[in-house]
Amino acid sequence: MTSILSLACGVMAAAGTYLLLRRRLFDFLIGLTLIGHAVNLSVFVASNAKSGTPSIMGIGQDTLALTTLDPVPQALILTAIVISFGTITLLAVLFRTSMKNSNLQDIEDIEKGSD
Amino acid sequence: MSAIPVLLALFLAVLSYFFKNRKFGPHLLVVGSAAQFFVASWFVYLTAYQSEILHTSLGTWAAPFGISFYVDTFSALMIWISSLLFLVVQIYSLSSPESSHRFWAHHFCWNTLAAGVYGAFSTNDLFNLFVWFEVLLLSSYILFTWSFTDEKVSEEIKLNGRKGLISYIVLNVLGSSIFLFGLALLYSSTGTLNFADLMRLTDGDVSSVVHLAGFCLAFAFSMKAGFFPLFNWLPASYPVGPISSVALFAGLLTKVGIYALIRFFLPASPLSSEWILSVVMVVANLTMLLGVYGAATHQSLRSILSFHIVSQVGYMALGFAIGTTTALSATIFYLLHHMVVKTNLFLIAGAVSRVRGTDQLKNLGGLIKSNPWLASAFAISALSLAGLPPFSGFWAKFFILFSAASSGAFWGLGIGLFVGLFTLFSMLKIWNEAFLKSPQEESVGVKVPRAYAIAIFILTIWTVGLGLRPSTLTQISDFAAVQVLETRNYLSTLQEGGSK
Repeated sequence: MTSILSLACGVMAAAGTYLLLRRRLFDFLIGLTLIGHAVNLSVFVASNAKSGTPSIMGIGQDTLALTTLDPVPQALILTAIVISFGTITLLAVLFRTSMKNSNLQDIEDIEKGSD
Repeated sequence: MSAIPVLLALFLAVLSYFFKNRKFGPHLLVVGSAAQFFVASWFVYLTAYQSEILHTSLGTWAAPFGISFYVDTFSALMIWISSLLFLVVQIYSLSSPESSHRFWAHHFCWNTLAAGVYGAFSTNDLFNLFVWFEVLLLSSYILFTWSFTDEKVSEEIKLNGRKGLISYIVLNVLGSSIFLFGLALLYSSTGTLNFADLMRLTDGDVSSVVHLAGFCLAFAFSMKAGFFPLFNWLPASYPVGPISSVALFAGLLTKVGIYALIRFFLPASPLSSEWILSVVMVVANLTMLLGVYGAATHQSLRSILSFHIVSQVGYMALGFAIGTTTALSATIFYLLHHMVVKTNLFLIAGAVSRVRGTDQLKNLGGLIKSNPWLASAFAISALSLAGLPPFSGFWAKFFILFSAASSGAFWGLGIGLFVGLFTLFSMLKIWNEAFLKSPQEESVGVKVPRAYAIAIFILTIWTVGLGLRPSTLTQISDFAAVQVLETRNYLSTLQEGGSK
C-alpha cells in the first residue's frame, strides 16, 4: 500500500514539474495543483496508514486499541488541502484576468510585453 | 498570553471590515496598531528585563499536543519591530490612495498579514509555522493583486506587475509544497512536529530521513528569505505593486524566513546540522554579491532597493551560517536595523514617486532643492544601509563582520566589506541622479503629504538613535542570542500543563 502511494506521489510530482517547465499559464495552474496533491498524499503516506480502526473510543472504553490509526496526519492534510485550494483559486483568478485583459497565454509573452 | 499579538491583529482585520465606509476608519486602525505596538513593547520588557518566557499551549492540551506559542526575547523583539512597521505604514497610508474606501481590503490584508507575521514569530510548532506562512503569503498575494483593479495605472505597468506577481506566487507555492513535504518526512520518522518535543529525541532515534526533512525545511525557508539562487521572485515583484504594501513586504517577508532558519536550525536539535550551516555560508556570500550586482545594473529607484534587500539578506545569512552566540546576537541586531531602514527607503521612494510621478532615475533630479527634508531622510537611511557611522547600519555591519573575522570566515569578511562599498556606490548613484542633478524640466512643487513625513520621520529617528546608542540594543540582543541557543528553555515548555 505504502509503495503504491509513494509511487503515485512521485508520478504526480513529476507530471507537475513537467507542466511547470512548459511555461504556459494554464499549465502552471495544473502543474501546481498536481504538485500540491502529491505533497498532500505524501503527508498521508507519512502516517504509515495500514488498515486500522478509527481513533474513537467507544462507550465504556478508556484506552485506545493498538490498531488505531494516527489521526494527526489526517488533520494536517485537511489543513494543507484547504490552504492549497485557496491559493490555487486565487492564482486561477489572476491568470484568468491576465489572459482576458492583457491577452497573456505564455510566460514568454509576458517577457516580450515587459520590454 | 503569548497569542495576544496574533489575536489582536485578527481582531483589527475584522474591525477594518466593519469600519470600511467610515471616514475615521483608517485613523481607528492607526490607534489599533499603536495599541499593538504597546503590547509588543510590553512583551519585550517582560522577556528581556524580567527574563520571562511567555508560553501558551492552545486548546487546553499540554505542550506537545496543543499548539505551542513560545515567545522569548528574540520573538518579542521581532514582533515589536514588525508592529512598529505596521504602525508606521498605517500612518503613511492615511494620505495615499490605498486607504480610500475603494481600497478598504488593504487594511484587512495588512492586518491578516500582521497576524501571519506575529504567528510565525511566536509559534513553536512546525506545522503551525507552515500555516502562518500561508496566512502571510495569501495576504501578500492579495495585496499585490490589488493594484490591478486601479484604473489609473497604465496597462503596461500592469503587464509588468503580472509578470512579477506570477513568478512570486508560483515560486512561493512551490516553496510551501517543499516545506510541507519536509514536514511529512519529519513526522513520519519522528512522530512529532513540536520543536521542543523534537529536541528530546536522542541521536539513536534520528534516522537519515530527518536530515532530508531538515534539508527540505531549510530550502523552503531560504526561498522565503530570498537566498541565492532563488531570489528571482523578489526583484521581479517588488518594483510593482502598491508602495505602502511593498514597503511592508520589504521589511518583513524575507526576515520571516531568516527568523525561521535561526529559530529552528541553530539550537541543538535533530534538525540542526553542520552541513546546512556550511552550505548557507557559501550561499550567503553569493547572495551578497549577486544582490549588489543586480542593484548596480538597474535604473529605477524601487528596483535598486529591491536588489539591495537580497544583498542585505546575505549578511544575515552570513551571521546565521557562522552560528556562534556573538554572530547570532549580531544577526538579531542586523535584523532590527535592516527591517526599519529598508521600509524607510521604500517609503521614501513612494514619496519621491508621489512628488514627481515616476521613480525612473533618469527622469528625476533636483529633489534636494525642492524637498530638502526628504533628501536628508534619504541620505541618512542610505548611509545607514551602506554601513557608514554614526548610523545603525555601521554597528550592524561591524558586529556581523567582527564575528566573521573572529570565527575565521574570511571569505565572508572580505565579501561583506566589498559589498558594503558597492552598496555605497549604488546609493550614491540614486543620490546623484534623483536628488543632486538639476532636473530636466521645471517641476511643479508638490509637497510631501504630512502623513508621509511623519512616517518617514519616525523611522529615520530610529536609525539615528540606534546609531548613537547601540549599547541599549546590543545588551538585549546578546541576551536574546543566549536564550535562543539554550535548549533548556524549550524543554521547560513541555513540563508545564495547560494554558497559562
